[in-house]
Amino acid sequence: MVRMTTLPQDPATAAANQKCLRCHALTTLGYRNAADGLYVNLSVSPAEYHASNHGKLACVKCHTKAFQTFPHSAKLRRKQLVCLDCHKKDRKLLKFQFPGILREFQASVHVQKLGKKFTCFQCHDPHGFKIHARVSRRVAQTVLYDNRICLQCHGNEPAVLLASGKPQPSLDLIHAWLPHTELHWANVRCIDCHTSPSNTGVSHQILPKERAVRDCVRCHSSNSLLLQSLYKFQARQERSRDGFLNATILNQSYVIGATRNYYLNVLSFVVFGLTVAGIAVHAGLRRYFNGKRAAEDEKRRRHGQP
Amino acid sequence: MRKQASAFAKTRIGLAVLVLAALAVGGWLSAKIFYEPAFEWYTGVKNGPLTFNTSVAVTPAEFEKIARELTAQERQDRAEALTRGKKDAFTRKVETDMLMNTASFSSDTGFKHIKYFRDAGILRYEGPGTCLRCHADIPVNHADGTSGRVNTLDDVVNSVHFTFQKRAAGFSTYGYNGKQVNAEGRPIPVGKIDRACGIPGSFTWTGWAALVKSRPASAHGAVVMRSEGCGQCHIGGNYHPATEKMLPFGDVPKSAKEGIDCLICHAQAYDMNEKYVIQDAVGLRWNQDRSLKAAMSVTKPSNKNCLNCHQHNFGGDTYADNSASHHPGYLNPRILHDGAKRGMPFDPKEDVHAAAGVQCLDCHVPEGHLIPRGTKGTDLVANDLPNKVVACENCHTSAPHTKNKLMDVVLNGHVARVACETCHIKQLRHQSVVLRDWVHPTYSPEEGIYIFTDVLQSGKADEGFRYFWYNGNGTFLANALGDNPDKSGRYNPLMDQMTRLTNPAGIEEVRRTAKESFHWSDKQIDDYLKPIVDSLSQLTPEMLEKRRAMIARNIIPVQDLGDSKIYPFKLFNAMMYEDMTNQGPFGAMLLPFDYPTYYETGVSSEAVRVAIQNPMIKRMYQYPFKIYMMDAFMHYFGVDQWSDVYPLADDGTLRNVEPHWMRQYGTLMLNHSIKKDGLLCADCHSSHGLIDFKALGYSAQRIHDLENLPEVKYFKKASSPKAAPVKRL
Repeated sequence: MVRMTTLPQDPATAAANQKCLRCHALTTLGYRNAADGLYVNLSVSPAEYHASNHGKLACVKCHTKAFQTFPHSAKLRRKQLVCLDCHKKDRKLLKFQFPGILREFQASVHVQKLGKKFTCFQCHDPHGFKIHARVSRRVAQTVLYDNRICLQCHGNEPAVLLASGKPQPSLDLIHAWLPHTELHWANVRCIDCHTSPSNTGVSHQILPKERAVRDCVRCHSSNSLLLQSLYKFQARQERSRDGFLNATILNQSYVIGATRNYYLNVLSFVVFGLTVAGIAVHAGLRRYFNGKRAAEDEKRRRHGQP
Repeated sequence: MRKQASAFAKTRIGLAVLVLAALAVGGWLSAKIFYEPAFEWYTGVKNGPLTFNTSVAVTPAEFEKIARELTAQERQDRAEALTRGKKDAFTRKVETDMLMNTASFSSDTGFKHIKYFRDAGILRYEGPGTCLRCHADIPVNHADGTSGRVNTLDDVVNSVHFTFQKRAAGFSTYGYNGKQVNAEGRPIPVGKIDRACGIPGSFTWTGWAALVKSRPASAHGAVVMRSEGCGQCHIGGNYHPATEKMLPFGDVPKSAKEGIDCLICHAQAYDMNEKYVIQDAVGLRWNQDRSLKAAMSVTKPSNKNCLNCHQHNFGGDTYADNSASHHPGYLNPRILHDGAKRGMPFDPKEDVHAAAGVQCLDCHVPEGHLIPRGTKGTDLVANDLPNKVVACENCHTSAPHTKNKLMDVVLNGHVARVACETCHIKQLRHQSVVLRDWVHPTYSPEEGIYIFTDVLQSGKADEGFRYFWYNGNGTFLANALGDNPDKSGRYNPLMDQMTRLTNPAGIEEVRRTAKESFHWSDKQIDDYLKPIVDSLSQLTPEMLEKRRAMIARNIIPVQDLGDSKIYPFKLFNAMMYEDMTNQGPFGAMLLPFDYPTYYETGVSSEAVRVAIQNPMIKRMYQYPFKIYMMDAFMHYFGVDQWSDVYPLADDGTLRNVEPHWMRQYGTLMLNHSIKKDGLLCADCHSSHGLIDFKALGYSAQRIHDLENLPEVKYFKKASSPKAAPVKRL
């Protein structure tokens, strides 16, 4: 489960935000941008916002005070917020390495191809954002959450066409070479193959398709690529929980995909246990019958029979 | 011995096979030969060869003359485009005229079928057979992107425009028993064919085609025959609706298929003056235009084609731009009705889409001859393509407002809770009928007949139409279902908002009309108003309790399905005779009127007595029709059991039949006559706004907020057609 990382709002913030949410909670609040015809969604789900990492913030903390008056000036529409406005300075947020993320982001194929049109918010909805991989205990949930971000656009043909001018090729078709495609999609994230590994929490350098991982062994090996990405935080957590030695030994022996299955693990233990038990019984019985035979021999010898 | 036995056995098996084969062939043959007569005997419907005297052969010379007439306007436009450069007006005219008479200029223009017919040597239109010579099958594009071909005749014969009903799931209608119509169990035929309704006042069998004797003032006492009946808007030209199609087997006879009127939907030069009732040796039926001229003008259906019939319920017969009304018939002219079902014309003057040249089929995108109605609907009208969405959003997206940069966001925000129609239909035509009294007809000296009395016609908000929550579903008697998203239980329209006429101006109007038409005392009028102001006053306390329980158990769960929005709905109620033996908490079986008796004598009860002697009505009160249809029909209606006690006693008097208003107002969807500029904030967000927030089940706090929005002052105050402040009781 995802751990809640936010505190409840203080009453004054809640009251101030309620003023905004009177309109902004309407699910269809938005407009079509005259410049590109794209829909700009201005709707904020109160429940989702409160559960998000930003949920304790007052709306005007990020959106300027100019938005406190109504009607909002049409000029404000042109103002684009950037995550770094807040996240660069705050010491508490250093561990998230935003400057590094920015560098990766700028080197990503999205920004290289689409330029300024492509902002953080194309993928991350700041009103619903939750850190996930870092705190999630269930890898499958992280996969679902992260892949949904990519599919917002790549599962939406008109969106891709509008942004890039090129039609979105069928995801099934271009991934047809990948054995057990569906299984991969349920268990690894798009970005695990489509980014270059990095030191930031989650790599933001999305690679052009030619540079995506196509080599099975990169992941399916003892030193799997996934230990630096998808399993990075899990490995770290397990290390702190189980002790360094234990976790390292177990981790290094993993081949992703072979022993990640809980039932397979249990089964192998059962088989192992049964084998040991079988040997023990066999040895025990041998010993027992050997002893018996020796005793009988002794008896016969004593009675003088041949 | 054994050999003999085996030979005997062989003979016996052989004999059995032979007998079975003979039985099968015989059965099939007798079904072929005897089914149709047996069906006609049972239902009382008649079939026969259908001929139309409009189907006339022309000479090649006449053909060319018609072709020139049909293409004149188009050639004129082209010629004028070519001579536009000429400065002198007279020279321009002379040259245009020369071009108009130039042979090459008049060939291969305009309607494509002129050339097809010329090439094929077709000089007479004989009905569907002529069309099918080339169009035996047609390509069809389905919504899912696939395409295929269908047999044209089968496609038409099984479309709702021909069958008037559907015996399948796909109704957005829920019975008062909480069951979605035909969604489970054995499906029954449901649609206009068997849906009793107070607007036409008759059933399709009893009111298909009638000739009525009138004595209009203009004829100075002489009798003028008038045409009336459901068949005027049906594409079949038979003596009855496609009754055969109500059974799961069998088909309409060949003659009925030959009577299909392809041209009323496809011919641009279709002459509505040919639509009138004719009588032949078999009975009464509707004539149609089968002239070659009409056939030569064939195209895909245009708005004109659809509106030949549908303007009747949109704008109404008396709407000035209803072109069909201006062509009521060369013989036995059709009776035109004053009150319109919806009062919202689809016309360039009234509707922004019509003005923009948008065609009906642009939104109602057909698949072959199947035409979608949209997924939402309150009434019991069958839908060819029930899953195909017809919605504003299909074109306008869910962020339709783009013009006003100050308001667009807020307006788009409303889309989640408020339907487009709510703001963009501000009023209906004043001829929109709200209360139709069939029981007390009024004599019209002008028409020379008795006509039903519309005691209230109104196109005003709250009076003629009102706002309700709507999730796309309706009841068996056309009540919009939905709920306030707060789901507090405060919104219960079938106990409250749909059972009352609360508008003081509306009540006053009913009082005035009744006094004028019926010459009653004030006391009589007070009694008359009671069930109009509160339709539940017609129920006994036990019935009322039963109704309350049925709504809580069966209807509220349907109201809470999906997402509801606020929609405008036309209000309607009718006073008709009802079979009180078949009464439930939501109403009783409506009984039809015989049109000639009604119009000629004005004795409404006598008109019922005549109409219910129709064999189809009798069959409804008998086995097996009771089991085949009526029991299930009545369960939806909220009546436990269909009683087979025929409402006509042996002595010919009506048995347990009473005049009543429906126990709740019907609510009809409004989707046309869309205005470019919608309502403005203050039209609704004020204490006297068009929308009654209390009636929509909002809490007191929320009502206060909605009526006193601080933002409203930033926007202009009220919208253009003075949305008069609404006074409520």
